[in-house]
Amino acid sequence: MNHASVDSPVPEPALYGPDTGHEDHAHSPHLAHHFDTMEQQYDSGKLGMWVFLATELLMFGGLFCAYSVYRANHPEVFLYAHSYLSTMWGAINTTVLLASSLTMAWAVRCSQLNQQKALVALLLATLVGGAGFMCIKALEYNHKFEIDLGPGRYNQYNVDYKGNEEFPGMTNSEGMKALLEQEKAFAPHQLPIVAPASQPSRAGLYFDPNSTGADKALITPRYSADAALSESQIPQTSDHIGAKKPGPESESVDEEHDKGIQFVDMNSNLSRQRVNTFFGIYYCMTGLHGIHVIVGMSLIFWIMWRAATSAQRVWMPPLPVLAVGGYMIFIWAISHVTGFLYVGIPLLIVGLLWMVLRFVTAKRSGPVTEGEFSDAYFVPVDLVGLYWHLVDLIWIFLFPLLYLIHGKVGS
Amino acid sequence: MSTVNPSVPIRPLTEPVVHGDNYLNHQRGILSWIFTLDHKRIGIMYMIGVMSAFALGGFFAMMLRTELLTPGPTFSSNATTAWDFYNNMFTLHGAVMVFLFIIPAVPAILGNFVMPLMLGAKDVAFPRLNLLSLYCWIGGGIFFVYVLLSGVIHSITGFTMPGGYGLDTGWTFYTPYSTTTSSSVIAATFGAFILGFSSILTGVNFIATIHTLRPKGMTWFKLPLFCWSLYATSVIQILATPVLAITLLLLIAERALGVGIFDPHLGGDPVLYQHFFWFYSHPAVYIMILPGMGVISEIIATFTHKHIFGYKFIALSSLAIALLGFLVWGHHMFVSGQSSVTNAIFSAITVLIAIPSAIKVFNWMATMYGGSIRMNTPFCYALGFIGLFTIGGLTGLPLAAISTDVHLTDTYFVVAHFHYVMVGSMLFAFIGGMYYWYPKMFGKMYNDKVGRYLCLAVYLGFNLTFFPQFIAGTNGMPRRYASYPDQYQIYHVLSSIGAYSMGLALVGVLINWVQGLRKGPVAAANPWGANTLEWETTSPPPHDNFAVAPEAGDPYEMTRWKQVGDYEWVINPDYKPGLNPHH
Amino acid sequence: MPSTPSIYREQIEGSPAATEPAHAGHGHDDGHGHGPGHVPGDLHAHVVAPYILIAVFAALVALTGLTVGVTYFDFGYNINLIVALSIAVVKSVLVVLFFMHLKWDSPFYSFIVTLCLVFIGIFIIFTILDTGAYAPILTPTNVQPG
Repeated sequence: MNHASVDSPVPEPALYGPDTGHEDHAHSPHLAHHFDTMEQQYDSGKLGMWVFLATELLMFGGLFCAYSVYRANHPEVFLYAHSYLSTMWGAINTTVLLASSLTMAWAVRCSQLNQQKALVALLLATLVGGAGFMCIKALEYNHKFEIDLGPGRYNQYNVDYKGNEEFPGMTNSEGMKALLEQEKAFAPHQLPIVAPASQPSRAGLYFDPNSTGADKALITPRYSADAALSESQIPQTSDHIGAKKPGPESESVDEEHDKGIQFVDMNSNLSRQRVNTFFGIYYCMTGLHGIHVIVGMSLIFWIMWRAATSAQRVWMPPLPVLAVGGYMIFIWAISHVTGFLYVGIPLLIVGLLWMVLRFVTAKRSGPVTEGEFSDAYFVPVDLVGLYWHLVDLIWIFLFPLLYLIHGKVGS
Repeated sequence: MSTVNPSVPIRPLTEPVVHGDNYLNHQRGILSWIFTLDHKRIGIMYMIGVMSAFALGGFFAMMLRTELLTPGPTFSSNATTAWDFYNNMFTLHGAVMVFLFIIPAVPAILGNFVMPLMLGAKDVAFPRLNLLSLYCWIGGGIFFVYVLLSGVIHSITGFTMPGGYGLDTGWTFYTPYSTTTSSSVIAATFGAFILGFSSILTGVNFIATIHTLRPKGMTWFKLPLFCWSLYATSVIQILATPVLAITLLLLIAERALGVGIFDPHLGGDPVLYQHFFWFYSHPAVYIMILPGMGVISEIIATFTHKHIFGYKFIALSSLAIALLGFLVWGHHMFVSGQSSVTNAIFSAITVLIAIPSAIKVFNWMATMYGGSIRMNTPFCYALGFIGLFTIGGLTGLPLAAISTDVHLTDTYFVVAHFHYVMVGSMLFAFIGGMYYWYPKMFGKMYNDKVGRYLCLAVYLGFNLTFFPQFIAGTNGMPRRYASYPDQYQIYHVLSSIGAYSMGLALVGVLINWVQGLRKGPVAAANPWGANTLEWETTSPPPHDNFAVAPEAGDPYEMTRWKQVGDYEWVINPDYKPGLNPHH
Repeated sequence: MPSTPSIYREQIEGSPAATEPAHAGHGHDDGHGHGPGHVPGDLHAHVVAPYILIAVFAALVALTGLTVGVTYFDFGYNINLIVALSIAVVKSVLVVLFFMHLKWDSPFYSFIVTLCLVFIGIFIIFTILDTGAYAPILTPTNVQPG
């Protein structure tokens, strides 16, 4: 066997140094000086990438451990709190990411077969998929921020929650303050659920298959005390749940019901801190995953640049500016935080102008130079593809673990 | 004129070293160093940075040992200020020494420089990633310098920099104190996070290098033991460091956002933090010690002029230590609230790790038996390593057994134990390795006699520092306490005197090295008669490492070489393969 | 001035052929059977067929639908979790084997992934065991807001 590979060393002695007659035969311009053959370099690169992916797996593994520990010890918290997440959008996000994985894998194939145009098109499609994922993610995050379900102390369940002065995007500030006042009057195990009846309908953002009609937009957790817990699990303490709510509180519950706020009695295991921890884990996991999506998109853009012909490179540099500007405007549109508009519009304008400029000044004649990748050298596409698939892989686990929790506890 | 022995391959002349073209003068100018892709230059830059970090950590140690000379406050008349200062000193000492010095030391300096040479390669697999590792190390170091500066500025002017000042949580950053204290935890943990990436990228590089850049004939079981130990270290770096990364990120999120994962006030679990932290930090101690053990294997084989005894056992025991090390993290948490079943499991597995460690020690001793011993400086450090590692390892056993650990945990016994393995073993291995490869790296020889005396001084100073701490610990002196009842003072005074002496001796070592550079004789290509491939090129090596690629054989076939001077060995023309009597 | 260091002392004194490169005569073939002048860059790597990519994608989408659909049936909390995780594992195996090319690569990469999963598993299992054992003594601290 004449090829080096991961498992066996170079088969022929290396030939290097200043006067060893190395110039008498050609080698690929992509061959680094410390490797002997392209195959050795390819194997080395692939091994390095897989080892690096192993570190990424271990990093997310730590987060999965935190998740597992909290879910194993407090399943009722996860059952309750996860219903604030939208299954529909999660499923759409999953499909978007799977599609982008398909286009990425196909792009690797194109780079191996010298299909230059298809390669750039598919990389662009992958970027679109990634951008779509981030847009949906922004939608989901924004909806939660608006009802005071942000990370850490921006979450209504956090003991240090100070109301919505801290996050300007939150609405219904009077309602929130009233909510906090009311909460002091209640026993600790009672938790508020904000049903934004007084807010514009957010049809389609939360999908509750158990609710019907106009209430589809309401955030109504599918978990309710009686159905989810078996009788033996209800602790026999004075503040345990019963079918009936105690006297004076039921009146205030009706009052609050008119204001569009519902309260539900919960098992005393469901402390508000633990619900807050669920959101903490949710934001840490999806947030770190989102950062990896952005890093992946940057890498794919870099590869797309290298794969592009000189004609294609005309429109590529303004693309990130346009993308970021457009993304900022999208976030403004869903959150109405004007700061995003002030950043997004200039970026968009600069991007458009730059794009026009590049088209106008592009050279119309002369040979079109090829992209960098071919059957002789496609390793970077392969390696970036591996990274992108890892991002997809992690989401494949995040989706069911965060969004699809259901069942009766204890069964 | 002597005739050329036809069975020995003709190789080109090696030029006079310091004046010929070598990696140090191949290109000139500061930019050629900052943007270098040469693993040797990166190793030298790591050396400067890591040794500076060692000096800084040592300075903190001197400070805290000075505070401990008397039970009362030393650095301030106000007791609270003095105790706060002490908290900062031991935290920064630990954090700087662990993250900036001891984890990178042997892999980043000696590994980067020597390993590609040992493989007959021109560089590591990913030279640019290597440079990025260095930049990450520098970046992490900058954050720690920021923490230090914030403390200094606060104590002098009272001004608090953003994020807090100083660091007083202990290098372990236990919650809930680290999530609620006002010191600059976020800066320090972010610095440690970046240093983690330096570690990870080095590990990736080494694994790929050892897999794909071995020369013809170097099968896995012809790999030098230093490379085996670096491989095992890299496996640990890959698997453990990311968990530290996520732990620190979660800690930062907890402080910055109030996410309640570890803080009980917010609904979290502080023991979970300890699980997360120690899942990295226990394998981390094997990241520290395994490369040192590799260095010792090389030194002992060379200076006994004998084939290493039990090569396969030593190689595989490195892997065994690496893998077993992941199963014992709970032994740092015996009294933290861990359940008793978990305690028992971790205790049992911890005791098992003594086995591969002992296998190594016995193999080294068997190598020395019947060997032709030369007591040069590297070998003195190796001998010191064996004795001190034995003490360090054996004192780990009462800590592994729960019934004794509940009395000894968080006392000076633990402090002495880990300093025996980290300083007595690891630092000795590092210094020994530096002395061993010094002629290769710089092309000069140091004064070996002075080196040996300094080794004795370091050894005595070290033992004076840390042996009294065993006794203080068994008598009940807790760790991280700035003040203590009078009956412990004698141990602290002895320990502090030892610390000052060891510090002076280490300064002497530095002077020994610098004087070697300035005034030492030019070094031969192979001053020690070792048979690993780095000795088949000039000292210092040329930019491309080898004029002609060497062929690999058994790395411990010492009889291939013949001594012709005090520090000069050449290829033995009468060498015939297979007749090595010590094989 | 010390004498010229050389590891081959015998060759120092007058061996004119000492600088001859060790590499023997080199023909024009680059060893890959390509003939003179050809850049030896053909990596002979495996290329995935399009039908495999599409089939895997279709399977992944179908499994996503399945994992959502299964939430409408309640088999009990634990079984629900096992079903969801099993579907996720099948999906991830498809991605790793086909999209990430592991089916046609050196088995060492599969070993790396497996080793990672083993260590993540050890971490999670030990930690769940331990935290589960002391969880009953942790009571929720029902702190009032403010």
